[in-house]
Amino acid sequence: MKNIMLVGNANTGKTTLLNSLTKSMEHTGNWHGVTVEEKKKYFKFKNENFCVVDLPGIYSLNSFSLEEQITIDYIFKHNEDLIINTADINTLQKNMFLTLDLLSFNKNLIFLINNMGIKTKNLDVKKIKTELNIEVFVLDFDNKKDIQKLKEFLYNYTPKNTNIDYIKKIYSKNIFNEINYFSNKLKINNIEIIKIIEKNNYFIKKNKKIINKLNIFEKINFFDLSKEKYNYINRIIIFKNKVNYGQEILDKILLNKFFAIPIFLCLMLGIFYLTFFSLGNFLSSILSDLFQVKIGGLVCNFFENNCSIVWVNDLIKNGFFAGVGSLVSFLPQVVLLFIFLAIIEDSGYFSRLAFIFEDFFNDLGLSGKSIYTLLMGFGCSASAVLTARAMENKKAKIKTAILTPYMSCSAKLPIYAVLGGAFFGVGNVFVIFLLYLLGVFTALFVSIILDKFGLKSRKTPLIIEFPPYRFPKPKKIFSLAWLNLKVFLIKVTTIFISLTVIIWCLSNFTFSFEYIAQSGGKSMLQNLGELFAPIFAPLGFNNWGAVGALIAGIVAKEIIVSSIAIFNGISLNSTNPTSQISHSITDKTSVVSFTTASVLSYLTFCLLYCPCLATMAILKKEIGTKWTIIAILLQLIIAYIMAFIVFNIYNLASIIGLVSTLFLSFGLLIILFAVYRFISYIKQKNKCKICGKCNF
Amino acid sequence: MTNCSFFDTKNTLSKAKLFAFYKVIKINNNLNLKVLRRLAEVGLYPDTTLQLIRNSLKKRTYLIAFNSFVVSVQKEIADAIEVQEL
Repeated sequence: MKNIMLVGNANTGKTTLLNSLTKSMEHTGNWHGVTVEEKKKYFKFKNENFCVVDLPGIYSLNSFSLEEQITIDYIFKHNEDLIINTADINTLQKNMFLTLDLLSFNKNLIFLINNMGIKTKNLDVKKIKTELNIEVFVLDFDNKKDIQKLKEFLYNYTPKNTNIDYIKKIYSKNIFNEINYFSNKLKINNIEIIKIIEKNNYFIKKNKKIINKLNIFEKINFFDLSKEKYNYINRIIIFKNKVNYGQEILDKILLNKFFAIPIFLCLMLGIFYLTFFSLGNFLSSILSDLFQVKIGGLVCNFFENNCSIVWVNDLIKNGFFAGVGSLVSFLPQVVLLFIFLAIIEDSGYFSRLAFIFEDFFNDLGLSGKSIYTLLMGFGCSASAVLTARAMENKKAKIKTAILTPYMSCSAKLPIYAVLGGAFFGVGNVFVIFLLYLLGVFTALFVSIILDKFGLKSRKTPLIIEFPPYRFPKPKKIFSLAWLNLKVFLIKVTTIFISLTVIIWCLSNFTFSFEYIAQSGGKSMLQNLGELFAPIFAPLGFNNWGAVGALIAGIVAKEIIVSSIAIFNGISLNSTNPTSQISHSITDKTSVVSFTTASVLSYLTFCLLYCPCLATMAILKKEIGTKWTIIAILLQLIIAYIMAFIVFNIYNLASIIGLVSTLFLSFGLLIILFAVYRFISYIKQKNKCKICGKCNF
Repeated sequence: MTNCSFFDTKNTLSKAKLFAFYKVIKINNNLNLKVLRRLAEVGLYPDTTLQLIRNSLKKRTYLIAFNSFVVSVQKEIADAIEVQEL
């Protein structure tokens, strides 16, 4: 087997190349830090097996963040593997900086330039080839013909044994002599001297005893080395790309100081409207009709005619089809949300969001980079937590990972749609929008609390690269939609079916395993729900069904809706079973029923209470047991407090009227703001009267 | 002498005019080592020509273009880069 690793700057198309070579569907995006861990995939070409490893992006062999260290460790542990060094045609010079670093370590590599389908007549590939003595290709990573040629090349490739002194080639005579001088004095390689000058921790620690003997850093610094490297790169790359970073008009509008945040909020509101109403609702009702009424009706009729056991028929009808079916009908909405998020990611707007929110996030002790992780949390919290690895330090990583589950993930969509839809109708789009905002603001508030818990990290000033805007590629968008559809279907066929059956059994059998429809009595879940229900009385939903659904939702949030469907005995005879669930929860005689105030409180609790099991497992892996327990407890406490506040504010509004409540809330906000300003004034009082910053 | 920024006459990137071209004179090494190294890696070192494209509402984040690509940098970095207008 031939082993290949994909190494390159962030956002140069490594994962796209992995997908094209191995026909896989790994997540790609037009922003930095999509890949945060190594991904191994295989392909076969003419009886030869290949193993391709996709690695997080790096800029040099000195690490900046935790995920960059993964790549560097992998490169040095797998010396024999072929490196495919990827580069983006738009930022070729910067990409070649890493190439020179790899060559200086005599790594076995080929250089692939991703032209993204743009013709590059003025790039002198031959010159790069002869100068660096490596194979260089310019190709489109998405083009089948180009990938076929690459596979052919990889099949025939045998590593060259060259003894080129790249360091001598790259650096000017003066610098090279200096490096040589230190190398002879300290009796270590030239490349180690370069890494010591670059203050690489590993090489400094390795040679700690000897470097103190010479004042190496006074003679050369890493800016000198970089300048030399770029001078060399500019000598071999004739191709000059203009200082034109893309569509300036778009940036003028989307990054406008005053309109950037309102534009973002309007965009999100538009996405929610399309997802939950117009388009999403239309697709959802078609699927619901097909799965629950047509297929469900056929299967249930078959069982009724051929099976005489009452509880089996009941399980199929009211357990399986009512429970799982209520989830399947939300599939179009989940897929639509992922499509819209993919469009934002692929267009280049995602990278700009860090810039838009940087000031605001900084005020709350968060780094702009956290935005990527938090926004990914709108899709799936479990995979979003992984992207926190891109944070520059451990404390920032822990804090961001803890905050991610506060974002409203796609699994919570069915809860909002069914429960909110029952009470608010079309106005539910604003309720959903407010829930999303509540999630974000709670996360920011928790960020301040976590600072007090010792997670205040020393902020590393950020450097974020801006990719150019581009039209999202339909292939990428639909492959991402398919990927999420697959995950959802796997969940449905494994976790959801088994959980639905378990929940149905728990809610229909007593502790002595008697079927309650025939023998009467209280079900196991009813007993359990009644035990915990009094705790939730201050939040307005002290019925056992609502609490039981919350307990079931710890495994996966989607289960909450199917549990409610099972508890309320939704039948399949309706043309729209989803709306039947909505109707049932407004009926006070149902097992799970709500008032407007309690449904708002329930939705708030669902939004903020502990994450699903998959997210908990990833949190434990990423931030350790201690912080995971703190995160879960904190979420439960905050969910309880917030749901209590929402419930009581709504009740207050219904007693004293909406206008009075608004005035009261506004008054409270003014008092809070005045307190905040007073504290700021006290702090400012001791500062310099001229600049307001120093202590002059 | 005082440390008050009012008396600071150095022309740094944070005081640069939008869309004018500047040459980097010096990068103060009071920044985090990793950040300094990253600046060097992306090609921002003394003598680099750059252009300030945009800054955020509170002037805490700056968008700069150099070597044909754009990066956003925070105020700490912009304060540490001394520039000269071309």
